[in-house]
Amino acid sequence: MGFEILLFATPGFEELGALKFATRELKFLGEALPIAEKTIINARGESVVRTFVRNEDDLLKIAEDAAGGSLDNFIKEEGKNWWIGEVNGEKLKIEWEPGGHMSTNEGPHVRIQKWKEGAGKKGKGKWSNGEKIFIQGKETLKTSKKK
Amino acid sequence: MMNTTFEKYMIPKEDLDSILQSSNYYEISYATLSNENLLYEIATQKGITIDKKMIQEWRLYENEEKDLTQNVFFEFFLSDLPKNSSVLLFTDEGLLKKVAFQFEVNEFVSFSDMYEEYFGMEFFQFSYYCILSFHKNICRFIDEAGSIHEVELSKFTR
Repeated sequence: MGFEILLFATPGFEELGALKFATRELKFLGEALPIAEKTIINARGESVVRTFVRNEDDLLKIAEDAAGGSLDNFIKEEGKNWWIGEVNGEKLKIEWEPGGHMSTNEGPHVRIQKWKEGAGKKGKGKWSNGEKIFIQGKETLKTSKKK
Repeated sequence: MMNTTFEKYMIPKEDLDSILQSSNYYEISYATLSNENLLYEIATQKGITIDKKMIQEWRLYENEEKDLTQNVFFEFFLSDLPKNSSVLLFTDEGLLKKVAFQFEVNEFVSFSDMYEEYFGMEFFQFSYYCILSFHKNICRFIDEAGSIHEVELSKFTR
């Protein structure tokens, strides 16, 4: 079963700042966290939908849950903020980036990429673009550029 | 046999740091070049200008309406470099083996084909790539939003 996230438009929305948080579920684990989505302008000047959690604890929980409960289950390469491992037979690459990226002006985030066997132009296999999740109010590093 | 052939392109981390030290690029190392955050931070702290070029139609690649290919990589990283010049390449796969790769621009197709066989994956995908060209005095790396950043290498000398 793949890593999927479901958004439930159900009662129980939690107002937090300008965002409305709803229950979101990490499908393969059955864990649930409040999340919100908002359209922002990214580093390329494009309009994109971003996913947010309430705080760094929630963000780390998403990374840990995706890794089957703990990033310690995965292999971390020294000097990089990503981990590789398998959950339920699915190979994942999880980026836990608590400091964000200056190059893209992105704040703290988690990125979860799935290995896609046989994908790509030559069918050699590749990592999916993946899903990125940010912290509400910390989507950028430069506050002056916040939208 | 393929692996042995491919390994000729690999430079161990320790050797690479020696090369950089002897070239007077004291401020950068294997660790720096393998990590866009570190590279960007050092460049910013030193006031080095960072040029940026966006890969066109990145959204189509993200949505998998188009595939990232060796041709796309060549166009944005290598096409303006002399064919017989040598480049160093840093990737996540190389980092796992604690190596960088060295090849001449005109070897790129055979190098990247062998890279795909060796690692069992498409060469250019949603991952980290950084090239260093002593000939052109530049370092280029891609960010997660599909932009190529370029810094002047000589600015990293003390």
